Amino acid sequence: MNMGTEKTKLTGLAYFGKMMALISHEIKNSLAIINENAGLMEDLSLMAKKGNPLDPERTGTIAGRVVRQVQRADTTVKRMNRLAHSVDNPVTEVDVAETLAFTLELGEKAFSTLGLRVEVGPLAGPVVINTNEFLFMNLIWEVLGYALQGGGRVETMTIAIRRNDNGVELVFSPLHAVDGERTPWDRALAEALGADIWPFADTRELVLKLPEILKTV
Amino acid sequence: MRVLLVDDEVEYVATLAERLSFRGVEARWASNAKEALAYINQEPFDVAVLDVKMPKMGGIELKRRIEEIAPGMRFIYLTGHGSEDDYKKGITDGISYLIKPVDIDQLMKVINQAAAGRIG
Repeated sequence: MNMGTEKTKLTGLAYFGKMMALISHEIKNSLAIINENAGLMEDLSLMAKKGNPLDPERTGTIAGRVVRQVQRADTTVKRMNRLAHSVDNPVTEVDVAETLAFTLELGEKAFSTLGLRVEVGPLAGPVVINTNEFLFMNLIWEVLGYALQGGGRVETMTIAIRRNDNGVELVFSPLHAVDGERTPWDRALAEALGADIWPFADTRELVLKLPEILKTV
Repeated sequence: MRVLLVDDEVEYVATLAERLSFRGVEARWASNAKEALAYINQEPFDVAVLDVKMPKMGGIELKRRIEEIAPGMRFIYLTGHGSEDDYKKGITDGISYLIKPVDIDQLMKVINQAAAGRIG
């Protein structure tokens, strides 16, 4: 593995930046809801001063909304923190399904804006590989970007996780169109992870193969 | 004055509509483009306040669709964190582009300006 190439660094920064934009959007939405509910309380208080009694049920509902948004923002910040710490170790044990689910959670707003849903297929048991967690997430994002853009009108993309002799395979399907000549994903990123990516036109699948143990240089 | 608010954050848009109603605005809200277009087909509005990023159809595309149905309507974009491109697009269209969280008095001012045809 050589994580130090300029191309890999730039791709990683772009991914990190995109995730930060999605996270900040999510936090902004929570703050906006808290802001409006605080404003609503202010409005109701002013109306109460003018003789319209304050309904305790109403204030309870408003407080409940604020609590929900604080919890939502807290979850978002925890995700941001986990993303930040994903760069801590060059190679670490990665639970493939769990990290894939986390990657999809981070990008969920981007998918929903496009009207797309991404699902992870059922898995018999945990699959653990030794790899670079951040680059793994970055590569999933890149491959998904290719699979979904190529998909055009695909509304649900499924990712199946399969073990193989050397490690693990992530199978993205269905692809709307597969162009075997095109390699829009970042080769440097795939090489840094010892990964192979194979598009299959006949089955409309894209297979991402990763080794069980990433060899460092 | 009749205003349609469109935002996929239901708790946000419903609360904002209520606060605008306290200020004399007849405000309706929708949580997606489909709902918004259904309202516009049924009743007249002076101003639409649109979230830029929404599932399936965002505010910029929704504005184009509304203009086909209700050519006289005025528009305001209101978003959590639009991209630089979205912001430039809003400026190009001459639309006010407000960032959440927004001050209600500022929003009222912009809605009044839009309704008077000075912006949007």
